[in-house]
Amino acid sequence: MITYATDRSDINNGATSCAERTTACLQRIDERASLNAFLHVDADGATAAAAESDERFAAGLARPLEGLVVAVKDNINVAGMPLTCASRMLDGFRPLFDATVVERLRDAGAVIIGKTNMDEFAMGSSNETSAFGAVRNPVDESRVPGGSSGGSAVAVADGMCHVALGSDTGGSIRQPAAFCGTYGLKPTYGRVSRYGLVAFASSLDQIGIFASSLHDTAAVFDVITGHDPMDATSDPGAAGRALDVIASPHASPLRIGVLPRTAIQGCEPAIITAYDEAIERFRTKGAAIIEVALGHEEIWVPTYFILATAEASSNLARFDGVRYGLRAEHTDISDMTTASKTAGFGAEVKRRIMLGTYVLSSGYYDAYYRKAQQARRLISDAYNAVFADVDALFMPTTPTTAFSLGERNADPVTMWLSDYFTVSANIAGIPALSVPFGKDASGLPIGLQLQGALFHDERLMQIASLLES
Amino acid sequence: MNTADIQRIAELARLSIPEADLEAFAAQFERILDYVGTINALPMDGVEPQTSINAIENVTREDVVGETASTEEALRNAPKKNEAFFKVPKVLG
Repeated sequence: MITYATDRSDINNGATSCAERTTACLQRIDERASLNAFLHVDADGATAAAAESDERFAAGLARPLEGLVVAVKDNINVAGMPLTCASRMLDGFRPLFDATVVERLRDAGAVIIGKTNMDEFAMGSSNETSAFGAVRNPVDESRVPGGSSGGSAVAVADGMCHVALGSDTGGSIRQPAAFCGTYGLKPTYGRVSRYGLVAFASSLDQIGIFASSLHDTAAVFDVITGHDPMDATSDPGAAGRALDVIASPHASPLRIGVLPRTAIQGCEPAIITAYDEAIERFRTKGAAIIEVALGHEEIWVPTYFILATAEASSNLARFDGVRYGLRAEHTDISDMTTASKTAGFGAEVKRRIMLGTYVLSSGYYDAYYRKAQQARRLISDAYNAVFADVDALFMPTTPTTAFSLGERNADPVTMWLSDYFTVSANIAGIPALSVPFGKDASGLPIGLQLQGALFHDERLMQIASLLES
Repeated sequence: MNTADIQRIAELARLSIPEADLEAFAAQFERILDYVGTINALPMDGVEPQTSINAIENVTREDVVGETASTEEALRNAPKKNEAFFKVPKVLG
C-alpha cells in the first residue's frame, strides 16, 4: 500500500514526483489485471493531471490533495469516463457531470485514475454480482475481496492508487475494507453529498473513503464533506476538520463500548482474538472499557433488507429503456420496459427489486415495510441511548475473514449475513470506520469497527488512532 | 408463495421470470420472506415509524434559472431519439 502523506513529503523534497507516482499506479493496475479491480482506466487523463500537479508543486501552488491518486467506484459520476454500476443495463453510459465529491477532489488537486469494479448496482457482499466478472482478493485470488465496493478496496490494498471512493449502503465500504486490510470510512448520513451517486437506497446510501492510513482518510474527508445545495439531504454544516482532530489530544477520559460475548460468539476465533487484543490496547492507552447491550441485534439484517430493497425497487424503476441505459426493442411501450429490465439486470438485482416490490405492495406494506420503519426507530433509539454512555462502540467489522469465491452464492440469506455487523450503522445513519487489525493464520486481513454518534466522524478517526501500532 | 404469486410480483416490478425458473424462484423467495419476516416477532405497538435519519425538511431554493444540461447533452445517452425528443414505441393506439 502507498500513503499520500509520505509521497507528499517525498515530492516536496524532490525524491519523487506526481508523474512518477501516477505512472507507478498505472503500471500496478496493468500488472495486477487478474484482480479485475478496474472497469475503466484513464491513463491519459491521469498522466495529464499529474503533470499539472507537478507544475503546481514547482510553483509553490500545491493544493491540499495535489497529486493524490484516486480511484472511484463505478456508481459515482466522473465526467469523461463511462459509468456502468457493473451492470449491462448501463453499458456505454456516459455521465454528463462530475459528482460533487469528484469535483471537490479535482479542485483540491487529485488525479482521478479510473473507475472500480463493484457488485451490480452495489447489491452484493462479495463483488461476484458484477456483470463484468468478480474481483479477486489480492492476498489470495481464490477468495473474494468483499463487496459491494470490492474494486475500490483492492485498488487501495494493492497499491494501484492512494485512496478510493466507495459507497456504503449496508457495509459496502467497511466489509471489503476489512477483507482487504485497508481503512474504510462510512461517514454520517448527510455529511458527504450524494449528488452524482447512482441511488440504490437513498435513506441509507453514503459515499465514503478507502485509504491505507488514518491520515489519508482524514485528509480526503475534510475535502469531500460540507454542504452541497445539489443534495437535499446534505447536512448544512461546514466541511470536516478531521486532520486537526486526529492530531489533537483526547479531551477527556475515553469510554469504549464493547459488545457482550454472546453477540460475537458467531465470529471466527482469529477475529475474536484480534478483537480482544485491540480492546487490551485501548485499555493500556487509558480508555475505560464498558460492556453495552444494544439489543435488537437479531432484527438488524431483516430490517435492513426490507428498507433497502423497498427503496431500490423504487429507485431502479428509472431504468425503463427510455432516457438512458439498455433498451430491448418492442412494439408496445410497457413490454419494452419489461424486456429492457429483464435483459439489463442480473439475478441479485432482480431478486431485490422483487422483494422490494413485494414489501411495498398493497396488503403487505404494514407487515413488512411499516414494521421495518418502526424497527428503524428502535435501532436508532438504542444507539442514541448507548452514545450517552460511551464515546464509541467497538465491534468486529465482519464475522469471518474473506471467504472463497462461490462459497455463499447458493443461498442469498447466507450472503446477506456477511453484513451482520455493518447494516445497523446505515439504519441509524451514524458514522462507522473499519480499522485493519492483524491477520488470521492464512494471512487474510481482519477488520475491526468503531461506530460513533451522529456527526462524530472526526472523533471516531481520533479514537482509531489509538489502535495504530 | 406459489408460482402465480411470483408472476404477479414480477408483473408489478416490470420483470419477466422465465417459466422454467418460477418454481426455484418461489422457493428462494419463501426462504427470504421467512427470514425478513422475523422482525414481526418484536412487539412494536405504538412505535412511530422512522422515515429518515436527519431532521432536514422542505429544502427550498430561490426560483431562478440556472445552468442545466443542454437538449443535446440530455439526449446523449438516449437509446433512441428523434430531433429534440426521446423516441419510444407508440403509447396510444
